[in-house]
Amino acid sequence: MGDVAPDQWYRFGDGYLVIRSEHLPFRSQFERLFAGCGVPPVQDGTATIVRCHIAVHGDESVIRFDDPQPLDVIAFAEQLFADRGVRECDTAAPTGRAFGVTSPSGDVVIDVRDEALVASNRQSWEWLAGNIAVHRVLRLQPHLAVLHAGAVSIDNTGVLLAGGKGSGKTTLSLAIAARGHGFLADEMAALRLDTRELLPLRRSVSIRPGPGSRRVAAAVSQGGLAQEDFPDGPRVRVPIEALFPDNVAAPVRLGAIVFMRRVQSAPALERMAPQRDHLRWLTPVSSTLWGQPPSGRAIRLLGILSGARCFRLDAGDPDETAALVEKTIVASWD
Amino acid sequence: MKYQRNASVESAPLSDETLLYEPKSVKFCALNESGAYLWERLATPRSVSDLLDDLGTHYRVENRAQAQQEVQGFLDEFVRLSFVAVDPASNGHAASAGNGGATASRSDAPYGTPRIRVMDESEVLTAFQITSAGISWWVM
Repeated sequence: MGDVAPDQWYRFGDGYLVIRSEHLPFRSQFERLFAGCGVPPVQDGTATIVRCHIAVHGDESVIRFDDPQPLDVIAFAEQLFADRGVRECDTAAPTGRAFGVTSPSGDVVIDVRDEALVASNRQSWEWLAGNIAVHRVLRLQPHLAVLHAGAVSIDNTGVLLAGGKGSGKTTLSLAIAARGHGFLADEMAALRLDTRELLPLRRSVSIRPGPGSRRVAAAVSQGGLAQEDFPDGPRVRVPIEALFPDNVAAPVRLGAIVFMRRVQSAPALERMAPQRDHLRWLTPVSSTLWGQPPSGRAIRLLGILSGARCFRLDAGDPDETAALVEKTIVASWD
Repeated sequence: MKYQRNASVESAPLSDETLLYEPKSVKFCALNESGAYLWERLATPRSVSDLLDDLGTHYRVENRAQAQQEVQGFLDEFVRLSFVAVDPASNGHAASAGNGGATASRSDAPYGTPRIRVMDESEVLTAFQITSAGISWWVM
């Protein structure tokens, strides 16, 4: 630590995050997670840019954000991670406030002093600060909806893969990419609301053990890929470019939404008429709603639903499911 | 007198209803099929007479006088809710007789009374689930 690194630029939606971190574990983990979002420095003076500078002072890291809009970071973190129990808490410091969370890997408390976040390096604060950094960029883009969904492009048309946690979004996104289609996202899909374009948001994918595309399984079995321990077990973490070097991603207009319902022995995909209640399956991440009236967001998303071909999917074998999705969706363009 | 949509209203045509949202008053409403058809026609200024002609090209209207009453009631409610405004340029002018480009193909579907159902915001937002997705990007 103490080494001043060059700026690392990342693109999230239509905004940019610039990381300059003296804290090497943070810098390397961020790069491991978001290498696929890395971009060259941007010179556009009108671009939405958040800068995150992390300095190390002895046993503490001081995280400062240079952000075009002021932010109550504690309220933001509480909303962002409400279901994870992030809360404002007491601070040992004579001035300022603090927020934190109890997590399986240990409690994390971050002080907020003069708008800087101050964290002891004896705790694992990196995940919390890293997520806040990404979502600070997303919250500045009211023209975007960021949804808990995968996204691919099939024949240059965007397909959103919506489903709850563990529904197989990553598995299906990768299986479709393995068939030569564009991979845009596996967990968080960025959608421009006015033009209905899906944007690439290619974080490194984390692959659970279990059924997967044969091509992906072959790449994983070759070894050499980073493995990380998650609360629900080990996963392999890999940049999408390492799995599919030729896979390119560009914005594409949304044409279809696949709602992933359950896993069965054989895949089944059927067209469905969009209804109001289907809004519950288009789960936006909370930074997308920061400072926005939720009703306005809801009607825009319902408009997105009504303008797309909607399908209900029971997933089966990943390769068979991907083939079925490809065939059915391409046929629906006619 | 002609009527036109409030330009700030956003709409979502779904399979069983069309939802409208007026951001200034934070009001939602749901339209049935004939209501949604009239809403579509109100993209350009339309008089009651215009709308009756439109309905006649799209539905089988048995009783034009009754339909006129219903369309007028529908518009009055729409204006009261601020989803539709009276076109100021048309105030005091006689109703237009033209069909304003209404679709020429007539359906045999019977005309049904256009209806607006005002919805509580929570009725829509209960289906709106928010997530903190992304936290799994980073090992806890």
